[in-house]
Amino acid sequence: MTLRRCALISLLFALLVLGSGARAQNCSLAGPWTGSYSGDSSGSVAASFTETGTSVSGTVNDYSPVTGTNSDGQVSLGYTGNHGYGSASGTFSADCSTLSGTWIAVNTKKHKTKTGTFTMSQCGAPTMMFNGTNVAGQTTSVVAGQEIMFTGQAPSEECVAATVSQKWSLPLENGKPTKKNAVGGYVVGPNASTEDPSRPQVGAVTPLPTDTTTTSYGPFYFTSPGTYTLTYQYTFNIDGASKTSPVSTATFTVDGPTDVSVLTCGGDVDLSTGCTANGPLGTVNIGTFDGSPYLQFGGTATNVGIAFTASAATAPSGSFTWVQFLTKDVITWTPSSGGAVLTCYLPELPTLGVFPALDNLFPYDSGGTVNDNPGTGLPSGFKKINMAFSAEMNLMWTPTADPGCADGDACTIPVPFGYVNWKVSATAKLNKSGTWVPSGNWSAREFVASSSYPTWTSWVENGQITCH
Amino acid sequence: MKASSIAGCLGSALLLLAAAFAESVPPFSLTIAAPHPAVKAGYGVKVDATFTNNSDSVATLRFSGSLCDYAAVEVRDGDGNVVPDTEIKSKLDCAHMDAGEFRIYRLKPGESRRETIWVSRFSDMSKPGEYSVQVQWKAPEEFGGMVVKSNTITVTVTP
Repeated sequence: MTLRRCALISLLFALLVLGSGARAQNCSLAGPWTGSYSGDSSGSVAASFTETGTSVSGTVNDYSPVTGTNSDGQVSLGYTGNHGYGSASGTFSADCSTLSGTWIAVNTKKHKTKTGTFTMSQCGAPTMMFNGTNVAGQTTSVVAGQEIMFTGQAPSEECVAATVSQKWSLPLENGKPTKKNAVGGYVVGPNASTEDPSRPQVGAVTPLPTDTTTTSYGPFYFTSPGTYTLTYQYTFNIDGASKTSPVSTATFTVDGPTDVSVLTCGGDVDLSTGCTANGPLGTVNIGTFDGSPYLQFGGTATNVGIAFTASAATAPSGSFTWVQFLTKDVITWTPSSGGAVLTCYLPELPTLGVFPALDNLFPYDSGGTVNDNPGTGLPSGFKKINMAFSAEMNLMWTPTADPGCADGDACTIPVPFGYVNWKVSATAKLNKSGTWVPSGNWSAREFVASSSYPTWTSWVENGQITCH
Repeated sequence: MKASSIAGCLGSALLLLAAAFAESVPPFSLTIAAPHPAVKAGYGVKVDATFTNNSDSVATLRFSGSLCDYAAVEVRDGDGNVVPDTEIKSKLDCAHMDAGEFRIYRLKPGESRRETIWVSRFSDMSKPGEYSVQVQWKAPEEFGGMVVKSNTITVTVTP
């Protein structure tokens, strides 16, 4: 018999006498139990028993039959094999959920004796599987925006079979459900209510999953660095009695970019390095587009309208993503003939001229530095063209997906960090010699940190404007 | 002819050949790839397009994020037929871009820039099936304004 086998015999339980005579409740040993033993050797315990009166019979790990008694709060069990014998004795906890005590194992062929203690629960704390690992009782490092999916299970087949219900907590921060720092997803997808479902028109946050009563919980995503927990327990039924397992807790430390900020600048910007400080923006000018005069803010490599540069003190592997909303984009045409001023809008769904609206696509762009150069054509027959433009540029960050994740876009989602509001009012007037003269004013406000996700239901695309 | 003369002729020919190849390299190349080769019907289909500046000069590129950034996006069904335009594409007249915004990029020689193109905004890919996708893009005028064709990839729209 090997030492390991010898050690396993040590799991057999024998007599315990409560010296005080104060027995716990009339606890039952029937059903599955799981736990661990330690001492001269150590390991896990999976046991199952039946009871008839005060007589007990069952299996402990590979050993059967294990027999004994459960009387007056005293449990004693024993096993005899070809190579030795063992015994254990234990007492129940006050709520009957735990049995703990001492064990002794004797190898009669090698004349060796081992002793130790054990504890086991009926049924014990469940597992909480995340990425193939049981993280119950562990602290696990993840990244903001990383997909998290849990499955939970009782610790033995017998306990799984006896499970009748289960309960997950929501993601917790300081022991309370986090209201803002975890979401069920961030979806940019088609809107069936609009005329063309093939476009990414709608952005929305998916709430945290509300079903906390199945064997799994998720997917969800932490959106801000910090420390969070999640708990899981199950209820099992043995001999008609319903009992609740101990609670398992998984702890997450969530990493992400720190001290995130955005700088704005314009003009002759080195777009590879971006802005090094908040600086002057570009200027309004008359350029050309497809050979026609064009009123624009910036618009060239040496006169960039506005550049945005994101920075972070520290950041895990990932990339910045930008999302821009137009909060105003109204163009007015004043006829040379003196007729009524026309008000014009870019193509927009579902309703023309409703702001805020997503600026063309999600994302607007990706990378540490992005820029924008709004403009409008200068049609003949008009003496004054004005473009009143304002926007909100949102900064998000998406972690690099785990190569082992097979959920595609769901493996990671962008997490929000804040926004910059900026505006341009540009005017082109036709002078007496027939030349367009530009003027205007423009500004950008400082970056505002925010953990709110940008969402939208309206969508603007560059193109032919509609005037009325 | 002496061996040294033959070698000299061959060397010259090789130099000419090398020069010819060098001249034939277009100033830009365009490569597309599908981040998700299979997409569920009803969801947008996108491709990642990588523009590379093969020239010796810094290139300034302007992208608006609109359909008009590209000379063409050709999508064919499993039978090789060009699929119809989407409603938005059929209404759009890229020759008359009245207003919009542009993003400016400067690409040094050898540098690349990746753009995401939602091809399903151009072509009706709403029906399940296998589609081939190719993108054409017009290089800046200072680089000859030539139309650069991408490779062709396959995207499957699943039920």
